[in-house]
Parts: sequence; structure tokens; C-alpha cells
Amino acid sequence: MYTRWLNILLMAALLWLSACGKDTSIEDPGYRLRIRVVPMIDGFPLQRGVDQSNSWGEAFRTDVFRIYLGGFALLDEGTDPVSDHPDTYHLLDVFDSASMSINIHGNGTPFRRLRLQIGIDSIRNVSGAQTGSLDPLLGMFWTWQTGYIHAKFEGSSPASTRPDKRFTYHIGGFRQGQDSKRILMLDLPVNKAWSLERSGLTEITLHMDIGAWFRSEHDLPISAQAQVMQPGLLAVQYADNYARMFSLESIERR
Amino acid sequence: MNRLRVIGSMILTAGIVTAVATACRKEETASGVPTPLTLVTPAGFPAPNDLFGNNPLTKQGVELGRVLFYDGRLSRDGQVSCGSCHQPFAAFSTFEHAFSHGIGNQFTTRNAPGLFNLAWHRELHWDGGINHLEVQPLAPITAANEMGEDLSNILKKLNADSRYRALFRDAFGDPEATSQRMLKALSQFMGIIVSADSKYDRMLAGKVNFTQAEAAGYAVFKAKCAGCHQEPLFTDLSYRNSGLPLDPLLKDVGRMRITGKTADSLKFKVPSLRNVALTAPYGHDGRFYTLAAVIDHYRSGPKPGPTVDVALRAGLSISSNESADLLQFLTTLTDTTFTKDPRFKEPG
Repeated sequence: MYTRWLNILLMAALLWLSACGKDTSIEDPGYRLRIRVVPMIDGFPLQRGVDQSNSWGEAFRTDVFRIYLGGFALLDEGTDPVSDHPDTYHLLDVFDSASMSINIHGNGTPFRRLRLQIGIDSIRNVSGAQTGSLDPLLGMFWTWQTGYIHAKFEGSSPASTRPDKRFTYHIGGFRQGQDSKRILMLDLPVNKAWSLERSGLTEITLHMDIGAWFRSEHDLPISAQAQVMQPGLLAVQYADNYARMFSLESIERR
Repeated sequence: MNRLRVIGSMILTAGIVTAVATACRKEETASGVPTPLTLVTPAGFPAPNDLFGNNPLTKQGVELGRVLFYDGRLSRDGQVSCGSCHQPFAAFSTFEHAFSHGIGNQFTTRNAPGLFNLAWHRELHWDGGINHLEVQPLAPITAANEMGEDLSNILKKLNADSRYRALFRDAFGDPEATSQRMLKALSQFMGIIVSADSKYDRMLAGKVNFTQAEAAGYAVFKAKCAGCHQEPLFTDLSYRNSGLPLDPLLKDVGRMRITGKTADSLKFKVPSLRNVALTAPYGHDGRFYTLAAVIDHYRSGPKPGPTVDVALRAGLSISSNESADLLQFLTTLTDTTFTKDPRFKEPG
């Protein structure tokens, strides 16, 4: 008798979940996860309108730093997601502290790694007017050539050869050979599986170190180019570098 | 016990049905359901792109799009609307202008194309940089030398206008103007602009006959021009270098700006020849004032260059008589049913 009720309830739950074509893993809003992103420059906190310097010894001031993260998933020891949020996007703005925390939910299945994506899937770049975090009025959309700007970094530096000593980096691109979306897998800093708690909040802290923007996979000092505003080879190099900005610092119960 | 179980099951079933229904519930319309419309594919046309799959075409959506299309408030100074540069009587190009006027005495840098049969175009703009009609308006709206306006400013203006609030409610069931709704409405309006009732179309349908010169011109067209200007759209939608040397001031490299490939240097989208008699001047920068001048360009052979289209390199052999006939044929592509269609005119 109980089995039968349980079956009916389970069916109801499945129907409700599948009715809107949501992702397949069962998510429970009770299992809360917050991903907090802390912006740094070579180990120091990133600040607005203050002279800081990169590892090339170039002084610079940051006016704008915005970047799209999305596609969050919690993975088991392999690459299988135990909890998946595909096609969801979040715009980080380092000078809007509220935007630097991303609240999602998962389930009770243990996980060992976090997957995240920098940038926007190509399908969203070719499907017309989007809304929410992808609204073109957020200024992260090229108007003269369709496509999202995955990351926008603007400021000034004596090393810049551009007018007013400005630097302007608008990095994006989804076409073949221009893809600047990057997918990261970050291992938990604890040497064991972790699980979210029902009615509890787990917080993951990521460091986003902008030092890697200028020097990691590729050497990209401001003096070499202070202006990149279209998809292409250079944008791909900056994408390789921004993929190296992220590290998983801590995971804890709140 | 059995009866209890049956009642329990019934309640649960009802619950399941409600749950399924609410899981997908969308915002309901406040004042009636919008009237669905269908984009009719003209005889002989291929199937259009899936422009309206995520943007159901409705009478109210099209009407909102039409009002927006002709509203100067989409520009910073309130003077320039989409319709300022895309005029119905010029097949939605700019009448007799190489370049169009933007805000503050500025010119655009490319010739405004006619707007029709856009649901059959995969990409838009002379360089094909725009991949969906819904996001095309963002280019002229935000370009400093065109409408020079900011999206959030436009939405402020629209949301402060009770007329627009009613139009948005009728079209989308909610009075709030959002960028997505505005762009979808504009896409509905532009997407239903179809031109397929020219003399040429009526000749194919057996309703009228071509004159001798028109028929001879059609034969010349099929022999010399149809390779790129394919029927029935009169474009194969490809990008080609027709041998126009780079303008030293504009430095417009065309398709290469989008792909970054040198092989695409100086290539531009093949324009449709439908309504071509209404869309002078010609070329991506409007450098040819007449159709005769365009034909002469092809006859004399374009300036050589690495990306010049192979079919054009030697020049097209078109005699003077053939050229005259061809011009007669090209006027049969003028469609006044579409230029005078009340559905596409400025409202009011």
C-alpha cells in the first residue's frame, strides 16, 4: 500500500519536473549552494580607480571588469554531473558586490569537483533577442556583428599606446576558430567528497585573479595591445588567459 | 478502505494534473489573446527560415512592430526612425541616397538595403555580420552615426507612454516594454514584409505577358546574371567581390571584417534584384547612380584583385541591345503591391 502511494508521488514529482523540460538531475531548492567570487590582482584585492600593477610591472587602473560565468555543475570524481545547471548565465561585475555571489541549488549527492563555463554558448549567440542576464541592454552584446562579449575589461595605464592611455578589452566570439568560451573543472580543496545539506547553505569561494589576464597561457602585456574589441586570434588568446584566472579556494558550511 | 483509496487516488490525480499545468504556466494575457498570423510562402519560394518559432507571429505583435519601426523616439534626438532610412516607396531603402542621414548631420557608411523577404535571409547587413533579424535593430539603434540611442533610454521612453503600454499588453500580455519584446515585435513587422507580386511574378503565374524586350532581357538575365542573383529571391545570399576597388576614405573591407579572413576581403552580400528600379543608387556604398552604370561596370570588367569573383574577371559580354533589354526586364521586378501595402505603411 505504501509502495503504491510512493509510486504515485514519485510519478507526480517526475511529471512536474519533466513538464518544462528542465535538466534531468533532480534539484531541491533546500540544498543551497553559494558561489562567491573574489577579484584579485596577483594575490591582492582588485580595487577601482586605484593604481595597481600587473606582473609586467605595468601600472593600471580598472574602471570596468565584467565577465559571464555559467553552466555550473557539481561533478563526481569523474566528469559526470550530480547536479547540473546548463544554459544558465550570470554576469559578474567586480564593482557590484551583489553580483559576485551566485546562488544556486543542488541535491544531497556527494561531489568532488565544480564545473563552470566562462562565456555564452553559441546557440544563445544565434537565436535572436535574449532576456534576463543575457539582455543586450547590459552592454555585453556586439551590435555590428551578432554575438556576446564574454568579458569586458576597461581602464587606463601609462603602458597603453591608445588615446588617453586607455585600455579596452571586449572579448568574445563563438564562430569556428574564434571560440572564446571556456569550460573549467575545479577540484575541491578538500581531499574527499562533499555533499550539500538539506536546509543548509554551502559556500564555495573562488578567486578570480586578473593577473592571469595579462600573463598566463599567453604573454599579453598592456604595452603590446591595449585595444581588442572583436572576435579573432587575439580574443582567443585572452580567453585562454581568462580561463586561468579562476581557482577554488575554499568550501564551507554556512 | 477501498473507497478511501479511490478518493485519495482521484485527489492525487487532480493534483498531478494541476501541478503539470502550473509548472508550464506563462503570463496570461490581460486583454484577450493576440490574433495569430501566418507568414505565407509565395509560389515558387523555398521555405522561409524559422524566424517565428520563438516569436509567434500575431496581428498585435506586427502592429507594435510597425509603430516602433516608424517612431523617431528610438533615436537619441527623436528625429530618426527605422522608416527614415527604410522608406516604403523606395522598397524600404533610402530614396536616391548613397548614404542615409543619421542624427546630428551624420551619414551612414553603407547604402541602406531594401527590406523585403527577410525571412529568407540567413544573415543580414552587407557583410552578413548579423545572424538573426531580431538582433539587427540593435546595430542602427546604437550606432553613433545612425540613431545613436541607448537601449535603456528607449525602454524608459516607451514605458512612460500609455499608448505603448497598451500596445505591449496587447502583443505580449504584459504592458512592460523590454528589449526582448521590442526586438521581437520589430522582427515580426519586418519579417512579414514580403515582395512577390511584381510583373515578373505575375508573368510566371500566367496572369500577364512580358513585352518582347522584357522577354529578351529575361533571357539575358538568366544567361549572365542569375549565377549570383538566383531566382526567386534574386540573390544566392552569398558574399562576393564584384570588383569595386576599396574606397580610400571608407576603407570598407566587407565580409573580412566579420570573418577576419583575407579571402573575404572586399566581399559583400549579393543584393536582391527585386524592386531594383526603386533602390538607386547601387553598390554597397552607392557608387553607381543608375542601373545602366552597374551593367557597364560588369561589361567593362572589374578591376583585377585576388578576391574578385571568378565569373566576373573577364567582364560580362553583354551587347548594347542586350543591355537595353536587360534594363527593361529589371523594371518588371518592381512590386507596387508591396510598396503600397497599407499593412507596411507608417501608422496614423
